[in-house]
Amino acid sequence: MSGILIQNVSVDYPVEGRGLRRILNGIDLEIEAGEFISIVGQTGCGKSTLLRLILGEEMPTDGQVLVNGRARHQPDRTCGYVPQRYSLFPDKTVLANITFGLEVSEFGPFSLFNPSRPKRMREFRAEALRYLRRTGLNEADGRKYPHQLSGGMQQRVAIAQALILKPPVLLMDEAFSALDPGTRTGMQRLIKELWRESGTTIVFVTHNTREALCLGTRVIALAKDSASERGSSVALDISVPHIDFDSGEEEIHRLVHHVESATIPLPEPVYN
Amino acid sequence: MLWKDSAATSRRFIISVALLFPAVLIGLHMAMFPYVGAFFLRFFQFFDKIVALSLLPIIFIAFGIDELSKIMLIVIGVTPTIILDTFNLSKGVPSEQVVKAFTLGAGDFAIAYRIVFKQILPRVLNSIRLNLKAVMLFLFAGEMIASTDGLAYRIALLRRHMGMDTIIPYVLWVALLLFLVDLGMNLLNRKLHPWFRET
Repeated sequence: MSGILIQNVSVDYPVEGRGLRRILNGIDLEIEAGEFISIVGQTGCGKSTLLRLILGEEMPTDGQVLVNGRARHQPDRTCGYVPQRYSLFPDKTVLANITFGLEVSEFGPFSLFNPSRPKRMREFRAEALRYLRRTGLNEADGRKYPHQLSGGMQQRVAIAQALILKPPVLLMDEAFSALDPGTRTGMQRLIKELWRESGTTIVFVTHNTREALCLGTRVIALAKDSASERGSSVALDISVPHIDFDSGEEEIHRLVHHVESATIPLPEPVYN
Repeated sequence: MLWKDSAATSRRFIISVALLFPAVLIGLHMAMFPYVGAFFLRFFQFFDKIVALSLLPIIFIAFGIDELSKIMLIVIGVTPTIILDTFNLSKGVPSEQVVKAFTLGAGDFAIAYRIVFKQILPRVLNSIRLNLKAVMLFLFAGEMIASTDGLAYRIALLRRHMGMDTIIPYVLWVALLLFLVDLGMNLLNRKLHPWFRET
């Protein structure tokens, strides 16, 4: 089975001296291959935890997470990842950042003396340049270090870095949250275009409902679990008509209100 | 005499600084591989608190009074600090970078050497640079007690004869040498890591 299957997943975190706090409670979610899913919810509701479960960085307390039909215990190439900060390796140029995945996958950690390395690296660089141009940057940008780029440019490189490996799933954790509104809109349009071209499944975590609605083909809202009253979150698969960046403001406002009214503010956590 | 003493002290100094680099690798492995860290961390935290000069008699008995004992004094005095500093710097690399590297297909060794080590290297070099004075201090202690040549040996020897006309130039010469090494390492660090200065 392709796509992502989240079955009855719960996550507890130990809180020093206060027992366990349940963050997520009985989450069931099925994401088809090629979907663009937005996960939205208030700060602290467990959006990033859910992303880390899909990534394989964390294990659920109960239930299971399958990506392409397989449970994973460590992040790997199955899922590309674009975090909000620290997306790029600061010691490498932009081109080296993009080719890193290709290089390390083919040659392993110590590749300097491999005879086929120079030829393959030329091919990797050409491929990286193609991706760099596709994300709106040029060859001169490729020679720069990440700190010489703006925040928006850095995230463009991070997307190219992840997509060059053609991962079946791309996970984006508040990837545009630190950008100014103008740059953010540009990045949203870019990721939508790249999604249409690549057919990659994208899971996009954001606290911005408007962004979630404009990007996702489906919106999952994490909200208070009213049944358990323990402050944990459940996933609400909110059915909304598809809107785009050019949809009318009134329509967008109405849908934002619809989604936000479904996500009741989280109460103070209860510890057991 | 000055050149002969400078050469003797420099030789010991260079060997001692070279021996600090394995310490960097130990610190890196302790941070990147939890079982290595679990095994060594407490030991080095305790080892770091031992006053190296208090071990001088034991070092002279165990390693004799020739070159090895002077170098061991420096190793015992400075390496735990470098190991623990490297450990902390490695742990300080954002977890996003490690997760990102995993998603790009890197394994544990690729992450340790190609992501974490490269990112901490300029800071480690800075740390070594700032510890050069401690290296020299331990080297001087060793030379003053058991040596037949070296800058500290000469200072200790002339002290008995109140030879200030030689001692003061020697002290200034040592300071100048250390200053130049510091400057050189700083320049090398900037040259090797052009990305570091501005981050």
